[in-house]
Amino acid sequence: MNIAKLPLKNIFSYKKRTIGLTLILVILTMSLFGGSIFIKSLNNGLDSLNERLGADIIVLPKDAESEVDLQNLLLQGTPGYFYMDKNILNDLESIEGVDRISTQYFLVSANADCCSVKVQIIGFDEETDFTIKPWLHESYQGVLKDNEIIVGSMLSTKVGHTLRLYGKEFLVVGKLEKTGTGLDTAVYTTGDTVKTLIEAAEDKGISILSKQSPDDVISSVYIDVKDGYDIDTIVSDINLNNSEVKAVRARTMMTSTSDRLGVISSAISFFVKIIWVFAAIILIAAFYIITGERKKEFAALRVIGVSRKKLGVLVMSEAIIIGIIGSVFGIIITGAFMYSFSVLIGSRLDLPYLLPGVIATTYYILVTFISVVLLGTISGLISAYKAVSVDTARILRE
Amino acid sequence: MMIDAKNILVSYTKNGKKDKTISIINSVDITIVPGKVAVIFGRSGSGKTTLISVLAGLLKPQEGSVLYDDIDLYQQNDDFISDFRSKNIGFIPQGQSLLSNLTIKENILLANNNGNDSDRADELIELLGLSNREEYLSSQLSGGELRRCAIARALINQPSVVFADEPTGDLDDYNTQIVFELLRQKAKDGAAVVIVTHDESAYNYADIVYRMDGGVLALRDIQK
Ligand SMILES: Nc1ncnc2c1ncn2[C@@H]1O[C@H](COP(=O)(O)OP(=O)(O)OP(=O)(O)O)[C@@H](O)[C@H]1O
Ligand SMILES: [Mg+2]
Repeated sequence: MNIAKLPLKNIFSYKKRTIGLTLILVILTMSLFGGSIFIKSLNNGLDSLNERLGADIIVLPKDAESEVDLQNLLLQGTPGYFYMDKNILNDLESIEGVDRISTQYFLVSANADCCSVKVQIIGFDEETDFTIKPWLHESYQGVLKDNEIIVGSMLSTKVGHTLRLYGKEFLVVGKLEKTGTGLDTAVYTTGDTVKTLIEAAEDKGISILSKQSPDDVISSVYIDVKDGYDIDTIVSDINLNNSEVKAVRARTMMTSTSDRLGVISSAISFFVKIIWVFAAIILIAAFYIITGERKKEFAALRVIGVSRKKLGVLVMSEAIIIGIIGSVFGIIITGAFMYSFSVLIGSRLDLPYLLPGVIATTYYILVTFISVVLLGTISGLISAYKAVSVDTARILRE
Repeated sequence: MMIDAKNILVSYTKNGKKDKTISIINSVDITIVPGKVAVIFGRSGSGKTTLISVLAGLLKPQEGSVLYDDIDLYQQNDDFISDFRSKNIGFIPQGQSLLSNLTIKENILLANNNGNDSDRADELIELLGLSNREEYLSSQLSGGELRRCAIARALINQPSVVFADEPTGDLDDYNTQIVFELLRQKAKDGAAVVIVTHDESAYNYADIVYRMDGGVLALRDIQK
């Protein structure tokens, strides 16, 4: 037994004290680590959505719901579909400043056998697409043939398996990386395949289009604007000259989401700060009071020749060790929670939610660990000052 | 090691007012020599504990000096004094002073500065009749057992100076004799021993007897 072993000995023998202090530190850790991961996941989700969208302008049918439908589809993965006349393409192509242009078809499956819920089907144009293919190619290099599909990360089917949609078998040739958005629950295929699906559905008596033929319609148009042209001007151009469609800036569509996200983020960081201020005060006060109660112990150590300096180191060491224990526990608990419930959190939020990767997570772990241990050290320092100023002779008379 | 304390003055200012200074130790001179047992008697509140605290480097007096051979103790910094106390001074405090989360043996070994002299600890435990208690936590012991443990702790480093403040306060006659014998033996081995006590039987073990009265120390008897 020697003085160097005393900090651990004290921590393990005064269990109630240790548990109480650790609990405060766990709360501090959980709020900081959990809050950081949460905010980062929201930002990641929005970033990945922005990236996936990849177009400057989206053109939709001009009815009240289509824009809402598209947002719900992207943000929450609520399946939706809408159509407009294909002729619009001619007008759009002739607009000055339009660089690339591509169409998409949306369809909602009846119940696909993979899934208990309806599935969003997104058909893109193999030749002109510039928004989906770049990231599809992360998981599938070839050209999609008829009856081949690529699925979002959240669908419970594997590459090589087949999926039945409107009575037809489709081969899954690729599965996408998680994006944290509604795109994770969609099925991707060519526009032509979607058209045959629409026909198949109508053959089965499911009415999707009122009078047009599938060949005459599209769901949305994605436009990439040439450098040097003003996107807003082109948007208002389209809206002025075409009464049947509505053009929106992709970024504008995301604005409300990013606003909501900003509100949530600042609310969370506010709460984290509040928790930190209160918990830090409680922690420092608790350490201080406990140290005051330990006067007799410190006097006894002084008697056997422990210097004031060593007494201070003892108190500091205990605080640092408890800080380490608390932050490690807090990080493990929070990490386990955040990572096992991320899907649930994401779906409850109705916002894109994508957990940070290894590097970012490691960074947050380090920042949290250092902050919590530092706070432990500070409370230890304040208490050490109290321990060091113990009036040994006076306590020995008591 | 010889201790030479000169003109020790300890006083407290009541409520921080300078004019209400109460003196507790009043110009005390005392010399403690190796190989002798000095016993200090005195009424409660006469300043005995305060005096030996000063002698042991635990309380800096307002005036005066404490010399250990040629080291002026209160001219040194705390690190030095602490280290010095740990190596040379065995101090048995008046009250309970053990760490309650450590066993008897751990308490004793905690004070041991030359590693873990387990054999020496066992020897003292045996000598003080604590053998069947050595793995007990100090919170599980009686007052007398705690006192004997504190004595063992003070003696673990073979100190050249021992201060014992009421070492037999809560002991029965049998254990009182054992403790006094032990301290006597320490002096025979060359240590300077100072015992503060109310117990008249300490006379039989004393070489020099002092009496403390209202902060003033008076030599009462030199035996042998
Ligand atoms: N820090 C202090 N503030 C005020 N008074 C003090 C202080 N320290 C000691 N005293 C007073 O000094 C006197 C001497 O105290 P001390 O503990 O030295 O007595 P003692 O002789 O050891 O008594 P006892 O036999 O009861 O142990 C007491 O009256 C005590 O109240
Ligand atoms: Mg006393």
